[in-house]
Amino acid sequence: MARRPELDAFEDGTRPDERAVARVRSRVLHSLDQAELAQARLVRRLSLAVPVAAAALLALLLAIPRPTALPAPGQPPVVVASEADWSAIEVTREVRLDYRGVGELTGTRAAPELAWRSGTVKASVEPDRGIELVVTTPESRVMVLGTVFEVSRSALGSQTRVEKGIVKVECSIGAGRVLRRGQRHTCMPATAAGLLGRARRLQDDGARPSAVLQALELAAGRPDASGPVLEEIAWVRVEVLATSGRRRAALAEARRLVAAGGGHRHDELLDTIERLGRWGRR
Amino acid sequence: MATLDLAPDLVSAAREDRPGARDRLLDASLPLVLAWCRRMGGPKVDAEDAAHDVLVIVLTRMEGLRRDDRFESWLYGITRRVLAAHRRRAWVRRWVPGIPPEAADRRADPCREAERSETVAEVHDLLDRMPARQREVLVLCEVEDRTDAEAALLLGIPVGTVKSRLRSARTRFRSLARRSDGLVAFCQAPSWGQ
Repeated sequence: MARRPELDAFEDGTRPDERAVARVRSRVLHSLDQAELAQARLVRRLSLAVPVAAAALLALLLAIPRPTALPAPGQPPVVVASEADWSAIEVTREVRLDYRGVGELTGTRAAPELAWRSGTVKASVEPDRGIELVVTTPESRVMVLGTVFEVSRSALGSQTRVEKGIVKVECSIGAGRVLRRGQRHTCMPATAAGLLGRARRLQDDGARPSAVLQALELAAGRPDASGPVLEEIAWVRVEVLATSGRRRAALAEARRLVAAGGGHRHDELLDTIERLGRWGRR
Repeated sequence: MATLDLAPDLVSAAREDRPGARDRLLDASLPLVLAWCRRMGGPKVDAEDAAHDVLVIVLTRMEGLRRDDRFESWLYGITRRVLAAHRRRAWVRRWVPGIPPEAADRRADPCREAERSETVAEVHDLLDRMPARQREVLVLCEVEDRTDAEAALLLGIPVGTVKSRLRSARTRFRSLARRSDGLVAFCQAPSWGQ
């Protein structure tokens, strides 16, 4: 098919000449240089702006006060108390306490300290955050670096039970122990009166007489054992001996106590001697 | 015919940004792109502006090219999109008060002077009034003398589609030319689109 001369003229008239090509070429190269410059400038600005922005963000994060239940320095301890129902408190973001009982909260964000008086507290500490929680009771000190554990305080002493992680328990009486998941350990009361209470509780709970007598032995050996506490320890010992079938020993002990004056349990001791004596004559 | 004559590994070298490769690719592509812009952009589009935009895109987005052997087709696709954008802008300029219509600088340029010739201006005007699809096959096949197969490869469409579009384009062009005083002889030619 023959091409029309008009289109030939159009092709000739629109064919780029060297000057037009050179003009466009120099404009393109200039634009590319500008684009490269702009990119380099952007990279340079970003290389400065990113660390500055990161530092500003970090400063902002540090400036935001993180919530804590701990008392301010120099302030009295925060009392946590819930006698009837379980309650919970977020000590810090990393430490949570579920409790039913009474205690006092002190320490710092990195090392909170709970002085537990009575009842049960379950502590959850987020691991690997450098938080060293310490729970103290009159007879134990439980230190932990990230775990879940429970401390119960009763007449028997302070019992620690570990749900997760590892804790170290130090007792006032006896050696300390490292507890792992699922393990528990009881620290016995540290005072003569406390040990007497433990003996009473063991007796009520139907524990073996040897365990009750062991607690009484420990109580009698405590430096603070004196006067009425010693008299009570002796009286409980007579009771345990009498009810555990060692009547002869119980009778001898009761007579020795009455001969020494009997103390505030004098009348009960006389009744016991009478009862045990009747049994002996039978 | 204005076509690309590229060294075998020039496109891949430019894509990998080897020294001097992009400059050589620019030199090889520029005349063709500028010709496309002049022929398909229409009288209201500044062809040099459009060619500049096309080549900046091409040279900064070489990573987007998937197949080196389809470079010409890729180049044409970018040209087509840039021209469409320029034409839209030219259309907006007509209607937005305060913005003067885009006009090419035609002073003291022999090429521009030639473009001002009556026939060229007339053909330009007719092409401008045609649908873009018809205009491009007409320019590629009739002005640049490409075969149907070459145009099909460039446009990424089947050869049959090129043929049918070319047929419609010729009919349309002839019909428009018939209404134009300047191209009476063209309309009377028996060999084209009758």
